[in-house]
Amino acid sequence: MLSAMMRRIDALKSAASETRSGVRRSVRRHRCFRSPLGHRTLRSSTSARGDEDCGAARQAIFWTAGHLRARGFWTRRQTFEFAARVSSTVHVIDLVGEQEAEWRRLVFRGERAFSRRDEREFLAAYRSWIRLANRLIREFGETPRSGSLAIGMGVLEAKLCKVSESLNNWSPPSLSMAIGLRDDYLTESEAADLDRIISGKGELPYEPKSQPQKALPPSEFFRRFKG
Amino acid sequence: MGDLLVPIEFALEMLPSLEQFTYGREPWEVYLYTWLMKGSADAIGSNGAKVWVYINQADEYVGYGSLAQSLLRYPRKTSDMVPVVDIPAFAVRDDLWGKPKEDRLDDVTVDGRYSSQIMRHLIDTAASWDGNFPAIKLSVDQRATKAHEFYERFGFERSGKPRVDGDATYDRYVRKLR
Repeated sequence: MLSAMMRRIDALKSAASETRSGVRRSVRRHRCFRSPLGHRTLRSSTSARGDEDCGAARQAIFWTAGHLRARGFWTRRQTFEFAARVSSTVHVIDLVGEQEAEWRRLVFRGERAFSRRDEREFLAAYRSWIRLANRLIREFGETPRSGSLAIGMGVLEAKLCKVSESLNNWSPPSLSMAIGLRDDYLTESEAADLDRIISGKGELPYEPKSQPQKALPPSEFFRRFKG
Repeated sequence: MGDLLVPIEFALEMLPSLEQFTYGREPWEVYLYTWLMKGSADAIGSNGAKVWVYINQADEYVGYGSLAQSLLRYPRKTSDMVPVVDIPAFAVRDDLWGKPKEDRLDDVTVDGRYSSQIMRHLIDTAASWDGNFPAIKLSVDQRATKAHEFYERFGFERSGKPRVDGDATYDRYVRKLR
């Protein structure tokens, strides 16, 4: 059983070997190998000359294919690097935006005093980001477009628009006008008083409804408003 | 209840339409105009405040109300900040004060006056906010005696020491929500 199987495997190997050499022969004779570098046809050459021409032609083909592969890789790599730059640039402005929101919140609540220095740092960060984004957008014209990269560039352009607009309308943060929205610290007696109110068992003059009245969208105001 | 108010979400684009309305002439009343015109944008942008404008059945603008989250260090000095719903500002335009005429002024659950309707909407909305402290608070200028009476009718209690800000001294009022 085993020996029969081994014989069958040998037979298959030899057939495969014949097939491979047959393929090689037909490839050598194929018309594609005649033209790339303007050589004479391989068929009309002597055997030695034919082998020489064939080698050069194949080399040319391999070189061209390799070059195309490398160029494709390089293009993909360039696109990938560019996409990474676009993505990180978008990410950076999101982080700066979060920092600014936190700074505004702290100033609004009186946890941090407003300082011109903080403000200058944010403005400088935004301006340098705008320069960077503009440079990327200029470069984008020279970079091959692909679906995701084009989407990324769209996001970047939208962010650039938004940041430029917010810089044009920039206003420094200010302390909350309503004293109740500033952070508050309770003394022990105040905390005890608050506890008393919260845990009070007395009946309230008005018990809140479980579902508040639904508010209409702002457009309704403009539709109904009579000046 | 006669003239039911409709709350509408506030947008900054409404301000030009609202600048013609006033909420009284006393300093603490002028403050309510200034807060809407200048302070509301910061409160919304920096603190996520919610503001509503109210219109009546005749589509007239009646006033506005607002809610925002404030932070209290409670119950100890070393405790974390606890978020508490606050009413930063609420006002009825001065030419509509005391309207519509109402007989049952003592019962705030049915009082149809605009001010009571707005306050009920604010309390209902504050009670439905998730994860908040079971109380609502507000600060009121000590000189605004009528406002003090109004808040007390709704169950607000004066709590803690007054806080001074510029020329004004404010009392903190707190009310249990649930």
